[in-house]
Amino acid sequence: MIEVLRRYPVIPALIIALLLFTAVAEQWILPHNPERADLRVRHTPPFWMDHEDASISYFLGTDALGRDILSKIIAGARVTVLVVVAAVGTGIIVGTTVGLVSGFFGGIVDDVVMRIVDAWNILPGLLIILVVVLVLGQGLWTLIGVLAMISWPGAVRLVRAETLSLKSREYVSLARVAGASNTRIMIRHILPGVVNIVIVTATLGTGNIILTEAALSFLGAGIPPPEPSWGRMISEERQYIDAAWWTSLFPGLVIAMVVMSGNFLGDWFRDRVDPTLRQL
Amino acid sequence: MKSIPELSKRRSVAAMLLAIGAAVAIFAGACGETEVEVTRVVKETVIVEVEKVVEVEKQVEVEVEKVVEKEVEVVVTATAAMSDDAMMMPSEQSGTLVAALQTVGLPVGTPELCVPTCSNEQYYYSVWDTPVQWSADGRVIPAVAERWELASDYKSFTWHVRPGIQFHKGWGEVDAEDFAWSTNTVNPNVNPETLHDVGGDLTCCYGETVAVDKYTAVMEIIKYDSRLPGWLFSNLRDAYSISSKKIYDELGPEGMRDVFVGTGPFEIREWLDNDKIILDALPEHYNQAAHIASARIIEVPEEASRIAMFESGEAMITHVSLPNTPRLEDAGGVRRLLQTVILHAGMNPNFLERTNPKTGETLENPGYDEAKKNPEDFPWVSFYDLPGSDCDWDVLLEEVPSDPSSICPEMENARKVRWAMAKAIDKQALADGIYDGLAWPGCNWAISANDTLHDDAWCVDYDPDGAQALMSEAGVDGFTIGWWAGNEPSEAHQAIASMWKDTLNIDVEFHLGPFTTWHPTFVDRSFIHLVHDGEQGGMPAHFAKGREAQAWFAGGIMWSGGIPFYQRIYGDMLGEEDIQRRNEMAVQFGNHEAFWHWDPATVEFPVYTIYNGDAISWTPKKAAMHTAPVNMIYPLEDIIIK
Repeated sequence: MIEVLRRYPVIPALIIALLLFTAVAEQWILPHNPERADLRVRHTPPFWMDHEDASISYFLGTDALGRDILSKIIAGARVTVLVVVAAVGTGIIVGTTVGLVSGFFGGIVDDVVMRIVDAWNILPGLLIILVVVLVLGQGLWTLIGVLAMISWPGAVRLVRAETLSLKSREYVSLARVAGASNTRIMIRHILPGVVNIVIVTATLGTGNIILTEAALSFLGAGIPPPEPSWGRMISEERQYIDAAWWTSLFPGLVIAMVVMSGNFLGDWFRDRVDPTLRQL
Repeated sequence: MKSIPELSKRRSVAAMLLAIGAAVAIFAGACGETEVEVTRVVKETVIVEVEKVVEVEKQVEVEVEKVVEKEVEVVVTATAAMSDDAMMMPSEQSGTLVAALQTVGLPVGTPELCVPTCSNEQYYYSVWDTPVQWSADGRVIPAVAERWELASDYKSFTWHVRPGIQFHKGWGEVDAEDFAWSTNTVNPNVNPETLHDVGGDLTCCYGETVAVDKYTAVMEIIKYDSRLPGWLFSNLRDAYSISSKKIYDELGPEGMRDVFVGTGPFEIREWLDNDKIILDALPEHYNQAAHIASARIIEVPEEASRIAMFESGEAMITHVSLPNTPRLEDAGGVRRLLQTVILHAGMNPNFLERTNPKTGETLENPGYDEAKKNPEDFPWVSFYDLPGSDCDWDVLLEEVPSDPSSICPEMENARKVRWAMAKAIDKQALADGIYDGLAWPGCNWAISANDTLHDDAWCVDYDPDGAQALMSEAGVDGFTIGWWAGNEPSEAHQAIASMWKDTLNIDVEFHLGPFTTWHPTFVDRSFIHLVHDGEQGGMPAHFAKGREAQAWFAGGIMWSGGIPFYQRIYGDMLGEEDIQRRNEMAVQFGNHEAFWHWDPATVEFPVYTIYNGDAISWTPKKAAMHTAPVNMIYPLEDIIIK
């Protein structure tokens, strides 16, 4: 059993699976309406605490408006998954496409694309996002858009590098001799070769996106209330952190666990797809 | 006729009496008597003396008047007993006050560039002086202006600058030129480029101020303002301060931006934006010298850190949220009430006013026009001109409609929706839950429930069943409503949104962003959302509220500014000299608001500064108020370190 745990990321996978499950099954498993305030049960502590207001009904306690912490975490999972899937997905699609084109055609196209990527990478990401959010207004799709903006350059570099390697392989040359178009070569012969890298990039980028979303919500530039968000849960309750520690601790723990799980899974994938690392 | 020797003898006796009076006054001041009492005694003495000599022949009368004038100078010295009192104690100026505030803000030395968020003009009245001041017991008292007069034709206001006031750091004596320039530079009627927060309010009523001699400035009055001189010219609210024209002339507006020179009892040694302020007390001050030697005000954004600093003794003064005040009291904290804030939900942006009541010009209402395209999406708006409707707009001008049945269904149903929304708010739960029982339900957005003019009939009790019944009567079953909530919805925002959802199936969409981002939509009257705002509950009810008169001007910068009855009653109040009559108008306003519920109050809460009672004593003689006093400690000069 221990060997299995050592060889495979079982616990991270379970955590991510739980995250996905809660996101999908949210409406059936929510103990309370996460948006409904009930000021009579404000700052009820977790059920195990020796306190007259503590109740199993509010498993992890309530926040300053009497909203159930567990319900908010579950509802926040849906938002997190939606944001991660949409932002990382968009970033990966854009990054992979640009990387493929850049690496495959090379020359002036490659130079232009890579200089754009270089310039993009030196921009202060969080600041740019804040400005964009302020201009466009807060909202789920604004947030997804700005997070996608910061996730695509990483994929470009990796995919381009792999494309440069693959396009000189013999099977690519043979495809060209056989009359395959550039588009067909890129899609049918090179793209399958970079999928592994794309998966690793996406997995490792998940943690970064979750942290950025949480940071934006903490700064008040994330998804506006009443939609639950883990980052804003911490932000809203930080003034009560000493009197009602559970309101900030549990969403913080969830963020940490999900990010770590994403990173562990990403590392494991990378090890699996890189023969050099696998042999180590 | 009395002989000259007799008069000389009388003069000697009079002078002696006055000298004794002055000495008694100084002695009394030194013994802790208040300034007001000293002033009154001495002035009475002078007046009696003048009256006695009025009947003598002209030549003698002139001589005696000269004597009296000299004696008045003596009296003025005695009047400034508090000044002398303080000036006599420079050796007792000791200790450094340490305060931890949420922000020390961004200062702007140039008055015309001081936007509503700039800190120096709004908060640091102990560094800058306003023309007059507002006493802790609610009176206008002299500051830079020692006297003032309203012309009998109400066309001008004369300010008499107190001689001898010095600007900090050697920038010379304050004179009428400085006074006039400071007033003009923030007044849009004179300086259209001004960004100063007080500008919008000055626009209604004030023209150019002109220096007529070294210490006298005359201000043109365009429209008589019954709030003179307390409102806009005192520290009662975010007024402007008297600044140095010499600095402006030498350095220009940009050069003056970083020069922080006032006339208050403290001068700035160092001000690091968003970091700290170091203030040094002047050894002498024309009004009242400080008891402490210096003050160190540190920016500590996190409340938990401010609490820790206070509990450990590192900070002597701080601000915390209301629920945390008992905790600081347990650590020796003493509450000092700064003001009461009335929260209210403004439901009708500049929708209903059709003409500028001041000029008669037709007002553009793009927000209203936009909403009118889909009136079913705005069931809380009393549309008065929908196609096919037969509404009498004039009913909006009545205190309370004499015949409520004459209100057209479109307007009446919206009124019911607003009432339903008010009834669905559990105000007591807000007060008890969010403010830990330290707040109380609000009844009128402008007149506090603690005000003597308050009427219980204005209050709306929590009644979810009644709210649902009203919605049914209005034929409305849930809708989505936009709500601008500043940078972030507060707990009150979210709690009320939840109550509306629970009771009335109303979904709230929060629209976020700073005031400056939304300001243009107020100005062009295109704003269509709700606003949950805080009103200054400590403001006298008979003072016309400045913002409601904003619709008089092109745009009208505020929400709920376009309520026709507001415009007229506050216009009338502004021009009414009789306080009793103004009080009656305030009650009319309350009755009108209670009927229509344009802007229902939700909750009132006190705002405290907490100071360490073991470390300092503090009996403020003056007051200032602001809806968000996160960085206001006032007056610093009254603080004594034990």
